[in-house]
Amino acid sequence: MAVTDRARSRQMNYPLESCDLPGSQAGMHLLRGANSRNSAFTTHQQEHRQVGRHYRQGTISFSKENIAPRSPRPFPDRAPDRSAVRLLVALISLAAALLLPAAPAAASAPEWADGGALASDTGHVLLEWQASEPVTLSIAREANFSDARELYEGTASSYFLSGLSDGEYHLRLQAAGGKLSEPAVLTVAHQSLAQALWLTLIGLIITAGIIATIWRGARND
Amino acid sequence: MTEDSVLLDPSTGYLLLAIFSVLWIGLGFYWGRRNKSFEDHALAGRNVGLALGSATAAATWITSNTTMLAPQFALELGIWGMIAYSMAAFGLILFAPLAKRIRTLMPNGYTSGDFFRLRYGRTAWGIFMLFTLFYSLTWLVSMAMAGGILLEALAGIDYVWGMTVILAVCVIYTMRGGLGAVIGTDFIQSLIIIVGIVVVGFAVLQNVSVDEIHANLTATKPELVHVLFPAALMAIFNNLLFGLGEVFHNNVWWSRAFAFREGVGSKAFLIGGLVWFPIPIAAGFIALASGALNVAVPSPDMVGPLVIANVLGEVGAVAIFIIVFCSLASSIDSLLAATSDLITEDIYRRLLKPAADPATLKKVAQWITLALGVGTWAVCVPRVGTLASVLFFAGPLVGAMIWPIVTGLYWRRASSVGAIGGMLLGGGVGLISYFTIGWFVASTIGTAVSMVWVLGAAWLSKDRFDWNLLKED
Repeated sequence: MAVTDRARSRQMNYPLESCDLPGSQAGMHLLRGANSRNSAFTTHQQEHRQVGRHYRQGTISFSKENIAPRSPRPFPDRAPDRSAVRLLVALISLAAALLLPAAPAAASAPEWADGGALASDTGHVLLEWQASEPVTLSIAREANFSDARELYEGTASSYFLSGLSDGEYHLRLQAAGGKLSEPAVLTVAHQSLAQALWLTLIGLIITAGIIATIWRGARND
Repeated sequence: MTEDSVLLDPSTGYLLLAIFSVLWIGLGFYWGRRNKSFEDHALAGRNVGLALGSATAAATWITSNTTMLAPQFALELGIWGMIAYSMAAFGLILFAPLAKRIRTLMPNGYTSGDFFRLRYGRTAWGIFMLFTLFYSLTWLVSMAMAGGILLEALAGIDYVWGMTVILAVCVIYTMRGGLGAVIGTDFIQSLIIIVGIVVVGFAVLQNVSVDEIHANLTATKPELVHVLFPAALMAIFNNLLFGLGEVFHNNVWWSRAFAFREGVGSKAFLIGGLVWFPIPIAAGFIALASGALNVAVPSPDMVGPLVIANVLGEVGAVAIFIIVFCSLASSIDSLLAATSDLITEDIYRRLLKPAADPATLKKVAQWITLALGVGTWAVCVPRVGTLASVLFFAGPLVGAMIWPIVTGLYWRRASSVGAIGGMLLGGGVGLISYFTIGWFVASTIGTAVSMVWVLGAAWLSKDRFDWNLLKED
């Protein structure tokens, strides 16, 4: 992930943290709003920079001489001169750059809701994330995702994962635009089997005791 | 929950809500027209037959948890989880002989509170009331909240509106019709739920075979089909004991034992348990098929509706809406009726107004039903999610009441010291294990501690209880 993307991701979290509305959906609306406002701003800046570049290259002239109005010609008897055409083109371009809707900026990378360090003693976990576009969720046993398997693709912001055996699992989100989340690591270490078997035995004994008590009592009824 | 997960058009949802609301209220008024006394209202005249009895036992036990949480159990804990949830059927099955015993020992009884008061005295009764009201009220709140949340998730109906309508409908027909209306509507609701679950199960099997499901689970969720899955193994008996504790102590079931005609109770609970047993397995199977059907699950409690909507489309969404609505209504009405009867009989009549006449008691029970409904509504409106999860704290509390009840019904030497110590120690140690180990051991440990204390106290006790003391007028 590029440094600038990380910085933008951190910026995007601020509205969520200061938001009174609960739930990821409310957060996502704010997130999208913040992102689109940033995008519009960035695009206008880019347009200005482009105009400036053209100016420096001499293709568009914003010199005082060119911008100052000439004496009007109520009945032009010839084609307008080239500098006037250039000025017109420049003004139209500038107006277009300022007035036309900004093109969407590239979306930021998806982010895990809880930082990306997960642990489970039951083999199941609810994965939650924030993303401004559809994502693909992948799981792998290898840290380099060489054996990655796709779990989900779509616009949801959570996925319930269950039935995992002991071990370490690596999870990753990829936005539709291609940007990747930081990998999350899920550590699964199931409860002690010995404890489970002992408690099962205790449960069996209690149940047998209840059944025996009822059965003996009911027999005398 | 996201907006994307709404399965049904809201206008269809509102229409279904209106149709079933009118139906239940109409039936409640119809069945309640002959209620004159408290006995008619609270115990349906002690004359409920086998068909209605079996249906109400099964339907009341089919809560929204059965249709929504059983698939979640299967998705989290696999095959064992599915079986663990079904173990709650033993609550009904083992209550069958108890129901016969209760009816024999307490021919004039009204509530489970009557049993604790007469059998173990005021202190044990006080602890029982504390435990059972905690359990009943949190169950009621969790059901009402679940109703609002599920209607919003399924059809986009606003949470407060959905919760208010479900609660209001149940309060109106329970107030008007009493236990008779509750049992009658339960009969229809149980038929709808069972037919719905069976149809959905077969529809899932039309789309994917058992072999495909097994292959998918083995490849992607291996622990779900693993025989030695620790958490799932612990959940089996924990859930069984939680279920036993819920049924054995709660007035929902005792009121039915008193309401069923002579000789009906044991058969009705046995049939109800056997009918209920496969339902969590069918619901759980739906969840296990989610992977093979490529249904992504954004939240475990929505796996059932998502798979059904995926398989059956709009028809499935309508079906799950109706099933959920019936499941909620069949549990909320029973809880309202049983809890209002408990408060009317154990607190108003026994503590405050012993001379109250039957017509007054009926009116008091109706007002308490209304108060319970309004109170539950007020608690549910802010939608504090953690309130619903408080119900799970009740696992060790209800587990700790199993042995005092079973021995109290069959052993003359079962003592008050045993019952009080068993409930307090079992409940306390069970709660500690809930927080230190997990929910899947709390009931087992709570019941084990209670059992040791109750058996020890009974062994040392020199008291021999006179059964005639339970035959109070």
